Amino acid sequence: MTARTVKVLNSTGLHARPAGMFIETANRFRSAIRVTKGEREVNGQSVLGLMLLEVTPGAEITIQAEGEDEEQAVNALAELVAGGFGE
Amino acid sequence: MTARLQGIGAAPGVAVGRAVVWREPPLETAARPGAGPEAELARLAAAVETSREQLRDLAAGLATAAGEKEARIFRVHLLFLDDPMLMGAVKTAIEREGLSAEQAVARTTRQLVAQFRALKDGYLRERAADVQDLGQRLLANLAGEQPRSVSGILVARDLTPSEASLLAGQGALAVVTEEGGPTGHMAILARALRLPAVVGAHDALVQVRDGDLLALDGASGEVIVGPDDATVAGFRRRMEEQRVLRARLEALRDLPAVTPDGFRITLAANIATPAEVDLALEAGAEAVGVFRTEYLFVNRAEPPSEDEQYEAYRDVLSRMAPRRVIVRTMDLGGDKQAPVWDGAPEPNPALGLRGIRFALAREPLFRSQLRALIRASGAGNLAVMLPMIADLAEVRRTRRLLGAIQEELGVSVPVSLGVMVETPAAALLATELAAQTDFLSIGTNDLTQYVLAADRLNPAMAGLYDPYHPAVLRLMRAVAEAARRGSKWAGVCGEMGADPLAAPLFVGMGMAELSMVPAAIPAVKDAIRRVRRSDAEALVEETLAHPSAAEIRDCLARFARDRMSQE
Repeated sequence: MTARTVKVLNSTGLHARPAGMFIETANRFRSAIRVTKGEREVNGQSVLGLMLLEVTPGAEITIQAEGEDEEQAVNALAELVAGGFGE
Repeated sequence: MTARLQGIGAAPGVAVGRAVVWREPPLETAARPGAGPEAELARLAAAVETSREQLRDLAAGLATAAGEKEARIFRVHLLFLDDPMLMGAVKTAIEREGLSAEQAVARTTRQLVAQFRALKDGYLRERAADVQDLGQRLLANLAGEQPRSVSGILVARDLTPSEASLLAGQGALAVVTEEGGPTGHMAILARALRLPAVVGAHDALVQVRDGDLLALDGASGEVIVGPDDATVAGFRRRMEEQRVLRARLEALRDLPAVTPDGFRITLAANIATPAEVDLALEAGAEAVGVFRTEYLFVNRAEPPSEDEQYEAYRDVLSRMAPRRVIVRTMDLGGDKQAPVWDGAPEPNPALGLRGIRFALAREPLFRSQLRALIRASGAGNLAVMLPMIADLAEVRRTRRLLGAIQEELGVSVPVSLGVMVETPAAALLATELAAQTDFLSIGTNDLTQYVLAADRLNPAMAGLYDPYHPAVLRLMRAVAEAARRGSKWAGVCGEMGADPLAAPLFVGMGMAELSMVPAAIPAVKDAIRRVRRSDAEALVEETLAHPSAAEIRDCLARFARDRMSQE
């Protein structure tokens, strides 16, 4: 399993648009993706799950992937989040 | 019988028409036994595909009618339609528990809605409505129902995005909801479609029956149920006036407010709700000179949350960007009562706890407003303005509060801070106020009332209460001069700013900004474009030497007749 913790830097946190971009990227990989914030963990391929995590700007989330391309998946997602979703 | 409802104006415009009362379909289903997992999964798949097609059509239709931004909500619904958390749970319930597709959709939707409703973030909490909306769509498609349509004025508790999209149909005239806010999806959509909308009209469903005649004003939030013939005629006349005004605005909108000898004034709009931003832009406003924030605080039991305020400020700032928006902090008390926070009744409210005094006396509430403003400041060009200033300490205390909040939020960009000059004290301290702030904006209504000690709402004072009184005008000139000496700018944001008769005076005094109801902008612009700065300066000297308001008005009328160029 590969995991990385990143800070969410865009202006809104994980609202619908960034959450949509997140799952779009997550769905490009074969690995199963989970996202945790504090004690809550959700499916990283679910927009609803990501929104229910209530990730506000400045919060830290941990992205975990398990599967053949787990490293690439975590790298790509961490980059997306750390880059502020291209804002 | 006629009844009146007061809501919040959410999309400008007036309308007269029959009410179509909208009852939301329940998220309940008749207990139909499942036909076995395989058959139920197939029914579900068919309903999902129908929903997908409808959502794609809706998104495409709205993108054409109202713009890509309004269509976005349905693209979110499309994402939900494929979401493992929703569809995974529905399928599991069918496969493992033998539920019918309806039962599985209804239960899963209810659970998700409850989870969203428990969130703290205002935006995310509102997504509960989207989940509910999608659940209802799936249930309707499982039942094989045809989408409904509306002809008349839609009246509802609240509208989901799917229901609101009915407004894009041919027959919709306007919309009234009991709940919802002026920055919600429905309000945005109504504005994009140029349909009048009133939200927060409590008891609308109690007062209005299907088929009732309604007359409504989507800017003021007024709804009249069962208007008499004269009222209907009045509303129809206003609809016509609006049409004429729109045509006139078209012609002047993109021209600057500049005198023939090159003196330029910013013409700004006074707005009371986010809905009026559209009116302001349509009228060619170059800024918002006063965004009154009282609508957020009055007519409700609980104060607005910081998040709710943030959404409203961000909405106005982003829609006006890059133009400046001066947000006036809560101007409560006096004649604007907010029942929830009232202390003891005051013997003389006009001289009591109002404006900045009220705000500083309720610091947690004031802090929530300033925090929301600072958080929203990145969305556009924000300036903050304090009402009813009479003492320099009020400015210093607010500055300290603002500084502490900026530190808390890690925002280092300074926020432009100005004061309203409404009291004789503020006018006489204009030099000091200019030194401590970025701008001075003259509120002519209250300044006149306080300088002349004449209540502007008292009919017996109508003869004395006059902003053209030399005492008021001399103070205004002194304020403009004090600002100029301090290299700051001064403007006018009271009703007088909307009077074309006064425009040459303000040019002569060197006011940098005039702010007014959007509808007044063309006439004032027209006046400014016809007066030379040099003539206007001489006019100020001549006018202010007169000892009475009547003589001053005569003098201005003569000037308008003789010295302003006729185009």
